[in-house]
Amino acid sequence: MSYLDLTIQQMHQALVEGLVTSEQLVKEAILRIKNDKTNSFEALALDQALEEAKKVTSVGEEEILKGIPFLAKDNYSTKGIETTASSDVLSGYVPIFDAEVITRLKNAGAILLGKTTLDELAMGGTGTTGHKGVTTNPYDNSRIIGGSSCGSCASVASGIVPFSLGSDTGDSVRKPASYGGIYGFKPTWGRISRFGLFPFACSLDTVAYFARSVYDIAVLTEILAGHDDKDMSSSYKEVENYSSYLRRENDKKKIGYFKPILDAIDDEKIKNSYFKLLDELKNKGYEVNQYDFPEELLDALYPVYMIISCSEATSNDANLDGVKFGLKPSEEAKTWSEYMSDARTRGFSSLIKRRFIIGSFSLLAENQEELFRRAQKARNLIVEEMNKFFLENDYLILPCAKSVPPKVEDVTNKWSKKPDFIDNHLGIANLGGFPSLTCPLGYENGLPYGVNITGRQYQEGYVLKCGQDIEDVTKLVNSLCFNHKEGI
Amino acid sequence: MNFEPVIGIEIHVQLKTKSKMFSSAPTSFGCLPNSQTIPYDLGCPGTMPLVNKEAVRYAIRICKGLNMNINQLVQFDRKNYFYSDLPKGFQITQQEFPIGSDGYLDIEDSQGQIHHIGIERAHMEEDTAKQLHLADMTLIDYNRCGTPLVEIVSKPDIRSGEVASKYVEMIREIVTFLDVCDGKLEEGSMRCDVNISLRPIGSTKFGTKVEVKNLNSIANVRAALDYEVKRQSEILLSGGQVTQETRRYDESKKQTSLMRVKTNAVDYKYFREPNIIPIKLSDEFVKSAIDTMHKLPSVYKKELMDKGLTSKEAEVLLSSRELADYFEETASLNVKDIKTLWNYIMGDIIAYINKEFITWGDLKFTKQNLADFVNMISEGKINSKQGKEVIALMLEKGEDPNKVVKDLGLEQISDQGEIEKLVEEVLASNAQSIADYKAGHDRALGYIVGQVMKASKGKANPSLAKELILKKLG
Repeated sequence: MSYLDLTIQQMHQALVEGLVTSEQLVKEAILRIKNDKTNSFEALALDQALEEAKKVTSVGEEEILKGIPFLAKDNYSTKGIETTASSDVLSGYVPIFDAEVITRLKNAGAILLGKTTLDELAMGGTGTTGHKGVTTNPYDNSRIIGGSSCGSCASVASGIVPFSLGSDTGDSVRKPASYGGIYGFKPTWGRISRFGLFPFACSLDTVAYFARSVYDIAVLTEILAGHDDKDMSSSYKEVENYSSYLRRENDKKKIGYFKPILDAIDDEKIKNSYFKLLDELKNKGYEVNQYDFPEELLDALYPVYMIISCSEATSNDANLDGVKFGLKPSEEAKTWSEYMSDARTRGFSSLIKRRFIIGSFSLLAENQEELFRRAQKARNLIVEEMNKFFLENDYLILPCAKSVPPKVEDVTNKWSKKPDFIDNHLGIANLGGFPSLTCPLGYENGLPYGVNITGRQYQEGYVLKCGQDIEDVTKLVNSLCFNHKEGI
Repeated sequence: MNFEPVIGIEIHVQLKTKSKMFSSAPTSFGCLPNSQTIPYDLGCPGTMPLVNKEAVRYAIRICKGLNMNINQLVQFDRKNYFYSDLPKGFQITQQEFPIGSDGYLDIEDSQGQIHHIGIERAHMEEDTAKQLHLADMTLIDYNRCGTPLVEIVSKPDIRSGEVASKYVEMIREIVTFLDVCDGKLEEGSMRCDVNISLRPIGSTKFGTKVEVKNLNSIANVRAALDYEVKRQSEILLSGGQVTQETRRYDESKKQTSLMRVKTNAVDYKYFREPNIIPIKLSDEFVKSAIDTMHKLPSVYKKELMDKGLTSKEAEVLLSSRELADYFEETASLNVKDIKTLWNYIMGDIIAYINKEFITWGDLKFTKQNLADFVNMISEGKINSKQGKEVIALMLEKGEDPNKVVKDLGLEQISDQGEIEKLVEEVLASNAQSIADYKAGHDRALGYIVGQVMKASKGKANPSLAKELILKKLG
């Protein structure tokens, strides 16, 4: 056993007791990075990390993250480290400032090893579309880990770091967490500053992260949450002591689920574990209810998400024009418009261009009422329905995905004409800004699958408590690709 | 056929706040290029807009000055387009819910006729970067990028170049008096675009409009519009059609020239800025912004007229807040005759200021000195000829007029006995003039007064002298 295989909580204890040093942890992590087969990394800052680790000579009880290595998705601005969001358009861009969450983690003493791959500009759910190619699943390199936070998920699942930063706009942390057999959490929109997170779709984007236990997620939330003057949308609401929720009795125990989503799952193993979990939770005093969420609203999830996210993205990424930073356009370009066209033509993949065109088309004055505004109205209806759901229920609990991670060759980036609810239901949490946690649930032929809990806005504590109860059932703490446990 | 011009004006007012509309970078003017920027101003990914409270305060004051309704729910939209001076690829503005709506200004033309000009909206937005086009390259200076702007859009209520220029002048006065903008059209801190179309008098339909840009002085606003009225009338009278286009005013040729023909309007794909949650301004915030705002020019004008100035006299003083304040503060120092004060300020003093390129604050004498001086004149203690000498010394050396008058022995003799003595002497030696006066030659009286003045070395109070002469002559 390596100390690097432990949770933050355990690793911290080992550091406090002097059983291991930060330098040893970082060296081990570097070794694992070098032997990694998942193609999870963008720019790394290993020398600086080692320097920082050497400075850590003692760790106090309260310094929970001090000396602990982590990785960040390459869409967080990192001072002095090239940040491309896995897109050629940003090649060579070295930010001069740290994202707020990077600053908070560094201030807490955590050691940044570098950056991880993502679907280009965080637009995608497969982890196959970044400029470095496919990021694979450490459980089986012929399979995907999911995206867009692919590199961050793979590196936690494979034991390189105990936690990593991802970002979640549709399900970009919570879906991969299911494919990687780890915990992935997206708090309430506004709970954590997005300053320095490269925007994909601001009204949906959330800082999110991977870890290997609910306790670790709670601790990270305590450190990352809270108002930041650099992000006007970050909340002034008091940051709670989330980890204290985990060991006390839960006073909110009503679970709801949507039947059409379960009906859409063919995988019996996943379904069985899910219902087994519900039974276990009932034994713990939870009440489980089926909720009739209108199917037409479930049908609307995909188009609403696509129209809103693409519309915001086409505007958010209009700054990527080669003029100020990033890809240098060719010498041929003579006018400013040729210059920008050249940078954007060569800088973005065709998948990104397709999203921009959809977004642009939806925002055109002649289409805006029918597409963008209609999508917003539908979003409001979905959120209203969820608020109704939360009048009777405390948590929405559903399987994260319809299957274990698929084979790379079975993944298509084509868009389905009739999308399944099951592929898109995690986006409900983004449309409504709800906190949402993916927990590992079990394994099928050695491949992981997870379950998701979504709760009311700013009820991070309750969602994590419910997650803790699930963790207590599945016993899936620190389940890594090379020594995974069984789950249920 | 007679045509009526239909004119609308868009004015961009650059706010004098210390920092930018959505970033903490300073707004200093004339600094080293690209030295006044933070990552937000360059559109670096992950940076986010932070609304400048002071800019909102300034915008509220402008709205108040333009008699507008103030929208207390502040919201912003993105205006999306690609251009080299626009680093984010969008501008944050207030398309859907401008902070100010439905205002007006009443403009008095040279005939004394009042024109009620509606103001459609005033909204906050951020300025673009400045470009320097060289022969083989374009340089971009992001210092200006993000500077707060308030755009003021009039209704198409203006019917002449004269009223248009007065409207711009009035807005310039308002924003400079409020101290929210330095109002320099020539430096671009206030920028003005006009839209003009012609239509037959009596028609209620609008003709094809032409936009004229690059109007860097108030005189050019009028000149460009007068030129356009002439140009468009000629086209229409010769049976032609005005094309919808953007023109620029060429000051040296005194005419407008084509910049670009407007094809289909650009679709800016506006949508709500998702990073700024709508801000509800409290009643107290709005009230305090208004309560603490500087007096508007219209208030100055009313006060000045109440003190006895004509509308024209008052208006002249409104050309700058410094002048108006100078006048008002001096007038409050127990000045007896406000018109005399006006005459000196708008005469000798302003001439000196213009000649020396100084400001009102640079004058060497105190306002109390000036008030004393003006009272000496209006009370007849010194005459206007002596006044010239005294004010010159005040301007050059900052001397106290009381001291100058004493030192030079200029003080008028207003002592009745003393003048009476002089009158008697003069009358005694001017029998012929007395005879002439009695024969009905009024000019003789002037001569006698002149002689008394001469005898007093110019110090006698002339009106008192005249009075005493008449008394003696019965």
